[in-house]
Amino acid sequence: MRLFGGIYFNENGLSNSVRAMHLQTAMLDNINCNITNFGKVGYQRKAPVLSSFAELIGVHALSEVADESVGRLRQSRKPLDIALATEGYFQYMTPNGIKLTRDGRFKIDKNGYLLTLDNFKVLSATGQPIKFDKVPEKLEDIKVDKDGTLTAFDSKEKKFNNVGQLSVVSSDGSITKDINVKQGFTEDSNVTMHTEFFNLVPVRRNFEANRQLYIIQNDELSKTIQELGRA
Amino acid sequence: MTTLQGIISRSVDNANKQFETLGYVTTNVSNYNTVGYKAQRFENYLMENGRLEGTLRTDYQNGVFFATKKPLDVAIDGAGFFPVIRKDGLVSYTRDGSFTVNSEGYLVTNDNCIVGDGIKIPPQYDKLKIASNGTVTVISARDAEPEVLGKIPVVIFNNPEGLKSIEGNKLIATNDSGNPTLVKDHERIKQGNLERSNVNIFGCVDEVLRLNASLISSVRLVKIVDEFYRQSINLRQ
Repeated sequence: MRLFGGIYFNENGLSNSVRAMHLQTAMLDNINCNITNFGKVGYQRKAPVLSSFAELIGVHALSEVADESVGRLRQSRKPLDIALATEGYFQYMTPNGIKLTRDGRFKIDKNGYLLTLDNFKVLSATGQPIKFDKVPEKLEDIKVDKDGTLTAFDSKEKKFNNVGQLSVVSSDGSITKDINVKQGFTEDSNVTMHTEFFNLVPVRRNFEANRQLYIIQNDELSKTIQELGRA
Repeated sequence: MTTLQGIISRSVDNANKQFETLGYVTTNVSNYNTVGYKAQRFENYLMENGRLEGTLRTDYQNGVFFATKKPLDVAIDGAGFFPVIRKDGLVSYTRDGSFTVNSEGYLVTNDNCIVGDGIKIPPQYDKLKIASNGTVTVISARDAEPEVLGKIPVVIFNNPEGLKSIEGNKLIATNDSGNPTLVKDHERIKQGNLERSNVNIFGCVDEVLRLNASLISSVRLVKIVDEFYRQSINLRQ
């Protein structure tokens, strides 16, 4: 900006600082998301990724990448708590198409369908919803193998009936091999709480630094205007 | 689009959900000594938009039996419920088998609900036996012939998690649970035993610690966001 005569003022400095503050707020949101979902089953940490030219495009330079490493497995001893000890996702059917999840806390409805917690049908490796032809009397009769095959024990006929195989896919939808399905476990998130709080420190300081810069530039600007006005 | 308000509302949402969970853990702990009580789990899960949802689930694993030696105490070994009828005619289901006899001579639960379709117990008897299939027989005097009084029914549901819990440690059938099915030939009833609750007390402590940590961290974050707010508002100083 050309103020008067030969005096130039760099107005980009002000908006740069505001953009940087905005960006730090977005980073704070990302960290907040990780901390809030620390104890949530099947949550995957979202790592913030900053591309180049962040000083020019601000928040648009920030993207999130899901950390696909396996979280902490916790024993729950519930027969329908199923966890994946390898990378991959379960598939379930929603009205908006097939969705992926690592949350393996399933339940059975009265018709024998295997459901997720929010009442969507879990899909088998053949793409059909998993259904128990005969609903087992107690959940302890259900066994899940390492490869995700579900069997139900029929206490009257004293034999195991095959129910189906859980579909486990990678994030791009291709079927994963060498899976390790664990029955009676839930998977907590793969967030480490203290790391997130450590990550918060530079975000706060960066915000403060940019705020200071903004104030300094603002002061300079008002000083300039006042001095010029007097002359 | 990120706003500070959004971060605050997410944190408050989480803190509230954790606090709600604490309420359910308290219910479990306070029912630790309730006969036939089934532990409740309040499961949090993430919606696609990042919001938290919660659903209440019941854990129907069997509790441990303890012997009382009382002839009218029964426990169900395995799946199933006793159907009981309240005074106003409501049919409910329970696993609490600490039965007594009411003033009219009927076999009732602790809060005077008639068991099954009514089993009348004579005021005087020498021995009362409840067989493992639920048949109640009584020997009125020494050397007398055993007399069959009735049968304590046991019903099962396709989806017991869908049952709705009402007061007095009882459940009622809903659309989700399906209709009750009478179990015909079984050997599930154990006379002289009661079923303890299946609450895992150590698990409860562990859960309280976890949700306390989550609650504290969310509140701490609100404080940090508050600092951001203050600094943004006072940008001129």
